[in-house]
Amino acid sequence: MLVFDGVWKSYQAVSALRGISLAVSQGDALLVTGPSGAGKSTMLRLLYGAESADRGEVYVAGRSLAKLSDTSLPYVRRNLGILFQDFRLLMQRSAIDNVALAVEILGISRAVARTAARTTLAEVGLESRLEVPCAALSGGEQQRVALARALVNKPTVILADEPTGSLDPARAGEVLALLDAAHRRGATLVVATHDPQVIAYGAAHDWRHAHLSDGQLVDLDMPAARPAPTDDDTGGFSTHERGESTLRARLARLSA
Amino acid sequence: MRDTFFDALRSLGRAGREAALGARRRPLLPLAAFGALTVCLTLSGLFGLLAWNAARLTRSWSGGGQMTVYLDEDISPDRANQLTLAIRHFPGVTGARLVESKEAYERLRSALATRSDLLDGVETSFLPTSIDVRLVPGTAPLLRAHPAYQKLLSAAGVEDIDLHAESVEHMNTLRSLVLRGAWLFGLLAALATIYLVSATIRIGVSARRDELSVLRLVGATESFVRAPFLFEGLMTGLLGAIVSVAIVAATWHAFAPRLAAGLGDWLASAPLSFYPLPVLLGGLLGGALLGLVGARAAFTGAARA
Repeated sequence: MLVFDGVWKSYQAVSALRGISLAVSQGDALLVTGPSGAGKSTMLRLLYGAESADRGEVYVAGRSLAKLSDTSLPYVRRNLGILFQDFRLLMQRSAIDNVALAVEILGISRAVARTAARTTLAEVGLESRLEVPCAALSGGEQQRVALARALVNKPTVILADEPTGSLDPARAGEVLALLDAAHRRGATLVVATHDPQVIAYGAAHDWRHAHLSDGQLVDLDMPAARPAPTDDDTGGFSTHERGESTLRARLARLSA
Repeated sequence: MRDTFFDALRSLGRAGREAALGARRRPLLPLAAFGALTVCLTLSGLFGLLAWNAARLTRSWSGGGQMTVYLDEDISPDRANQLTLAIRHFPGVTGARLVESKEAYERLRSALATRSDLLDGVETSFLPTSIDVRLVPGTAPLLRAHPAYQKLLSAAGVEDIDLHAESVEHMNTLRSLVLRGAWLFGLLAALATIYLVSATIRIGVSARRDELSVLRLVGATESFVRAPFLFEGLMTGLLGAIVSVAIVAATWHAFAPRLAAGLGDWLASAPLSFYPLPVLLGGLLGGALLGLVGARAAFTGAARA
């Protein structure tokens, strides 16, 4: 479903990712952890095509993002529910408008889009704040609007960058439960975080865990209960190769 | 088919809504574009109208033919027709028409306009029957040297030949210059319009860059992102064209009578007139199209998210 194949990415002289290789199967949930600057957000940005890899390939649903045309990229993004670290909301617009917009881009009527948005905003506990401009919402509320926008189209992949960053523990638990519910409905989930509460939640729910340090994948745990993905659901990137990639990452860490 | 229609309608509705929202947030930008575009279109509309009337006038002055063959007073109708048919086969001749003396009289009366009373009491048959001949431009000197011309001069029934092609060609050159000037001015105005609309919409795009970036990140296609701006350009062009037409019409109706009075009998053969309806409709469509092209140009080289 999602594959990093020897991906390198740097910003001027700073290496953000160094030879990352890993595969996420359809229906997997993956926690990407690591300290600030480890490359977690860069991994997500590569997945939704906001950045391109310097070396290596990133595949989403079997399609190499590097080979994707500008006109095809939006259609790939429509299958992704993205929760941005900085929310990326249209601050002058209401909560419901922000969420409905994600539906309207699919060519669905405004009325239907607003109904879907209303339902999803209610799920994240914002039913009383529908018409409030996002600029007037608290940080936690904005984060929930962003979550509602990510979930409203029932995407097959959810990418969440620090999804609990602005929330108190109780709200964070609710957000994690919503993400887990989407995951249990079949969505592939990738969560980049350094929040211990999220890490603990992931461990308790059998999510996979990739740990980054200094742009390298230093640890990749597979949940014991989950079967290893087949070639089909890794977009042709074999489990053998994935195992090799993990090994390469470990060797790289040792040699660093 | 029905779904496609409703999809298109929905997209148009959304584009209109978003464009209105953008205009409400930053009203000065679309107002500036609208004002500048209206000035451009009004100036080109007025200049075009003057040029169009000048062209009509010069055409009427050169009307009648580039060569006139005057016939004898007592020529028989058969001989006159025979000569007309023969002239049509001359080299460089594109048309020849027999003008009876009565028609020549009416033409003169019409040309004299307010001074037509000079002809009061004059017999309607005092002008000779003639043949108006139209020539391919530039062939007059050749025709003059052609043996057929010399033969025609001495032909039975022919009184005289007036080869006034040169003055007609001067008139045509003048008309062509006026029309070319009008086209050039129109082209410059169109380019200025496109530039102005493009520049103002580019500012709007730049001001909303973050918003557009979010749209792209959540999966909006370029056409979805651009549609409100294209709609804004289209409406700016259309509204600018409507207002321009109104201004040009008002100006024309205010000043045309004075202009006509000043030019007097010069206008007898081609009175001043306003644009016909198809030209006006074409102008409105052209304005809308210029706005659309300007908006489209605003995205050339625009940064992608």
